[in-house]
Amino acid sequence: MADYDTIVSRREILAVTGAAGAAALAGCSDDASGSGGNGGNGGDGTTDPGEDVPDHADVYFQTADGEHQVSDFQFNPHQWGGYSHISFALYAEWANYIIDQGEYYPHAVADWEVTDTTMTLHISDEFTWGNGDDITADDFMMQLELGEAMDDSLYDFVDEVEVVDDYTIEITYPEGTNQEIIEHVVLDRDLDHPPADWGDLHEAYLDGEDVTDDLFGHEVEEPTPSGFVDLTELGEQQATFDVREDSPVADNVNWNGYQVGYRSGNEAFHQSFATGELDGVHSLFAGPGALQQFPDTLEQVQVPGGFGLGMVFNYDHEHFGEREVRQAFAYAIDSETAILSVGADSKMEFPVQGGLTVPATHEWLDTDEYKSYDQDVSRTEELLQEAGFERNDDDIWERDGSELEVDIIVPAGWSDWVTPTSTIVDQLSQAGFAAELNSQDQGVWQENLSSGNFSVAAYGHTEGGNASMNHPYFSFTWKLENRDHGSANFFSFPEDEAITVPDGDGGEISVNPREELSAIANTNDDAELHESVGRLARLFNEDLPMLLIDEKFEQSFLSRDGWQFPAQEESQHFQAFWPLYWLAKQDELKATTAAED
Amino acid sequence: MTVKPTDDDAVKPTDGGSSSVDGSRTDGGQMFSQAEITEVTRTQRYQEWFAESIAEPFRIAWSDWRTKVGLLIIAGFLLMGLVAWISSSTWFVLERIVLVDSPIANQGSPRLQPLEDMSHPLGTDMNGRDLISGVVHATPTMIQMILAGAVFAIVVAVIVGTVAGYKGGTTETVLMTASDVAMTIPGLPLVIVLVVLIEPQSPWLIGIIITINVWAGIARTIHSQVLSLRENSYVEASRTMGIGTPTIIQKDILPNLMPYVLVNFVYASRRVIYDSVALYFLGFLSFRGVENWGVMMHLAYANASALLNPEATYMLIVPMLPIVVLSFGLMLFAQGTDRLFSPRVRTRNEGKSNTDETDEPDPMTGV
Amino acid sequence: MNWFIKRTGQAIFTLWAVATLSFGLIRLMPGGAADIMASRLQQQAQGSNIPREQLREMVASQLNVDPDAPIHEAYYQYMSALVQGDFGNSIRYGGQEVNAIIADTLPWTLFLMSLSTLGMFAIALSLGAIMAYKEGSTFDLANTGVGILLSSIPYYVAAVVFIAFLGYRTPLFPVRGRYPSGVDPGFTVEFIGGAFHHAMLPALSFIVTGYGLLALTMRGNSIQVLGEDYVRVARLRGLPDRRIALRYVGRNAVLPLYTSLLISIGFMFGGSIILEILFQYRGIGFEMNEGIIYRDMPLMMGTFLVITFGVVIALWIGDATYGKLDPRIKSGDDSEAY
Repeated sequence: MADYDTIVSRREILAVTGAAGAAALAGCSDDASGSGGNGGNGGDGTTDPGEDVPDHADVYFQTADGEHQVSDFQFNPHQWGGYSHISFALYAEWANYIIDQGEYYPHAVADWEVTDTTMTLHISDEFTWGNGDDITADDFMMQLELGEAMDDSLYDFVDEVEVVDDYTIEITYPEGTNQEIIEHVVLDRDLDHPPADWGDLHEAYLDGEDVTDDLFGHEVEEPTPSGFVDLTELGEQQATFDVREDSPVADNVNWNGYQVGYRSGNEAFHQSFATGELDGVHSLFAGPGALQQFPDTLEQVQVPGGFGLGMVFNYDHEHFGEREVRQAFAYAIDSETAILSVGADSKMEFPVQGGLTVPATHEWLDTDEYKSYDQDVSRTEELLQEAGFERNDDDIWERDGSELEVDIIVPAGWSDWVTPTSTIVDQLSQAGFAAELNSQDQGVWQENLSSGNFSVAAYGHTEGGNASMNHPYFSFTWKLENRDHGSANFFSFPEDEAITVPDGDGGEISVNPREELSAIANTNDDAELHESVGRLARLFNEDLPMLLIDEKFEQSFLSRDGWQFPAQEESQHFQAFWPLYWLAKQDELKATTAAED
Repeated sequence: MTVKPTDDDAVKPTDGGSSSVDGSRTDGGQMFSQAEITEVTRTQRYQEWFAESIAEPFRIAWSDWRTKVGLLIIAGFLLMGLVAWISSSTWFVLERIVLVDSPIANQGSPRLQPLEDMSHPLGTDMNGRDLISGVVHATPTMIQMILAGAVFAIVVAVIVGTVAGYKGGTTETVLMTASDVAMTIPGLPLVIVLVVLIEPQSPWLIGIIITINVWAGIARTIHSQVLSLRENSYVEASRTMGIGTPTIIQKDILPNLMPYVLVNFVYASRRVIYDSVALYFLGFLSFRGVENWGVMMHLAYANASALLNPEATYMLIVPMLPIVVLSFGLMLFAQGTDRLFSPRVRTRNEGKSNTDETDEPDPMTGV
Repeated sequence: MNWFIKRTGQAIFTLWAVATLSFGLIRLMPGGAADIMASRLQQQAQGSNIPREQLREMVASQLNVDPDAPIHEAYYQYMSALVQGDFGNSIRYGGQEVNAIIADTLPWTLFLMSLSTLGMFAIALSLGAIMAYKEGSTFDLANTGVGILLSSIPYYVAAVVFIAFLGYRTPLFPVRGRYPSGVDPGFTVEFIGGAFHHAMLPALSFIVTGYGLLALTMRGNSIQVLGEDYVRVARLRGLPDRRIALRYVGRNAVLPLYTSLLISIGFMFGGSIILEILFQYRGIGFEMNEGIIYRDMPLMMGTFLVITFGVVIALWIGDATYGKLDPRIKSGDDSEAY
């Protein structure tokens, strides 16, 4: 990593002459031989005139982790603190989901077929483990079986998994099971259980031992990668990962590898990007204040994350257990101004409250038919009066002597949640709610969620970083039958009861969420799917178990200062987790001679 | 910190300032009260007590410019609290009076620079909250925290110090050991652990937690004071006259402790300000609105990139100003009143001190 | 000697009291440490459906306080582990021993504190003495004012200002880390120089906001000593100024500040948490914060205990040596909290 003096000088140069100047300056080195292209295997758009892509540039891509100290890197994905995002380079994806296409793109699983009862995986024969062993169907099988030990949701759907030959696996399931769901639960994985590290536990599991605790506690200090880099040096402040020559994608990478540092908190990342210390990061929240400070060469890639802020209501709460109060809450707030405070360009508003992600809403629902709950304080008043509330002397809504209190719990430090939530609280106060923001330490917030100790909570309306959330099944499961906090449904939504709501045409319909979800999981018929999704969306729209505030783009960053990659609209691979690794694997990220300064 | 032997019989006991006037006053006053103690009425006693322990020290202190400036700043701060309280009060007369708006989102457009729009002279934050509103309306809770914390520390210290000093024996050993233990525990880490585990919301409780072990040091000082006072002739006289312990403590001992109480009150206040702001700033305390200057700093730091972005730096600077100014006022005040007990020997132990407390630490060390 | 034994006993009693307090907090904290940690783990285990009870048991096995054992048993286990120097395993750092984490970070905090303390006393003592010699001069008045003003600034406010202006806007000092990356620890100029460079801003934050009061106290002491009879006598005897300054004034004015030194150690140990967070300086306070963020009780309470032990021991050493330094103090019985 550059020392501080170089940063100073580099920044000054940028200030004076702009990036081109810096590149020209760097180009003085004798390496700038201009080998005319990039070794001949270029995809489209990898060469821009004016910047040379050498066969090999002696540089590392500089990135950093925000959660794990470098010296504490470990490589068991199940451990308490998780592992670093370098795992996306260390471990090969089975297949990677291209978000705007809604499809998986093959990687270690080279091809697959899905029929009524069987999914067949054809595994690439080019991948090897870091210790030289070939990666075969047995390794895939082992990973699934270890997942079974941890109640992986795959086993909610499939009957049997079988190794057919060295490079083929067959997965069978009951006829009628939704094939898209099967793809999601099978393919959305990384090859991160090398037999060298996990073989013993796997055998113990097959011998009938309970290995759950061991899986969580298992220590993997040295990675055995299936991906295109391997750990070469683990320093105190920086870890170096070099490209593995025997990886099938090694030829696509014309630089040494990645160096990963540590930055505690967004603030530190912003500063590092502003001074050009880092070349990119997988995901980082940067509000308008920070973006202003970034150099022009730093490119923001907005990956629709499906993730975002929602307000979840506790159905056991004396006030928020009532539909009128939830709707009144919705009408009292204006999510647009709430979003504005964190930078509207990285957030999407929901067209309607339909329980689906924004792209899925457009794909599945006729948005005219559902309520959008735009701010309308007079509607709030009507609804609350219907529910028996009156304004008291303090101008607060009150019923039977108890004020309409809203205490929104939100994890402290999640600034893109705290900021809009505090706007929402102020809007509620103005509408006569006794509203308060309660920013809590993350652990406490989680504990309060699990124990149902809240009235309204800021809560992710999908599971973060999980591509399958764009599918209605997973999106609705997350919202109506959330199992993320121990109890079956932490906000006490009656997930297995028939709930009656207006049907939007003056009539009424009765919907049992669990039955509808099961219907979605067990059909491939388009009309039936739309029917069930529509009923669940109607239920969600009227009963409002959760209010969707915004859906964010993951802000992924890549620098053009020394790096070359296509314009974003020219490649589908920007829309996958995460550009700084996935583009490299797809031969679309190149170091230029300018990087070698 | 000065450590000065108390048995320095070269110094004639004084209440401060000019020795001739004070010397005669205290001598006469004290002797008079000893003689008349059974006769004087309650009112007289309080008047006398007031004159002795408040009016006179105040007069001396006021003659120092530092006290004046300090008091003015503190008064300004209290006034700010009053303004905020009136503005947010829903009490019937005050309901309509709003001197400074409460800070709410979208009061103005977000991220207004100071002086950019004169309806928000110091600018607005990321949510469009007026920064002046934020600063002003954070004052009442700060006053609550200071009151709770400083009063708690002082009351516990006075009780522990006087009881230990006066009772002696096992009570003294137990109380002083407890003080020593509490004193040795580093304050801030303990406070952080406690707020993280207890998650206090009420400003009163937060104030008390912050000063959870501040009482100990003050109690120790008061204890040594009481020990030397106890040996004084007039206290002994009271005792031989059969006057009960509580009366002696209240009549003879507490008045002499007033200056210590005052100065330590100021230092405890400063501690509460520093620590509460730090706890909010670093996110150890959860917050509900911009109820503390530390919250404003936290939002500026974490949400607005105020360190990095020169255009947002004002969001960090504005809430820092009241902290520094108020703390400056308290420091000046404490420095100014310092002469009240310098030399601090308010006793007349005529060279016959036989306590083993040979040194007498200064109660005041920064924070 | 009697006094020494008493003091030692008290220090040990304090250590015991703090350890018991920390046991109580872990065991009795609202919600339960094990529950909060289990919730956290649940979030981690995405896509799997492990029952909550099982998670809680797993967490409990990591805690050095058994949440389900009878309280006296749990207490005995906890204390006997502590006596053996075992603080348990950190959950945030995947089961790494808290001891190891402390061993790695404590020296850095000590380094930072020594630097701050030395710098602060060097400035305060010399400045205070000069102010006393020039009592009443413009120099004296100006420095008194500046001293009070700077003492009114919380050290973390100073830190924030330093980061923004000396770290970011004019990058004179690094604002992150303990030494330059890419340098290997060892007795090299790069490493040692780099370590000092990195410690500079945190240390300055303490020094700038702390020296003022100390200098004023030194000034007061010096003025008092200058007025003492023996100094006047020494002057009349025609002893050289230098000798008077060092032997008489210096010694007698500085000695009382010894207690301040001890107190400031306690204060800085505590304050290091905040500065280490702001400067991302991986010392023991930084790790305590990690323990807090991740609700990693062994890490949080382990670092808390070590900080407390450090202060208790520092004060004990100070007390034990004070009597030797100042012969006037026979018992040295008093020390002060801040």
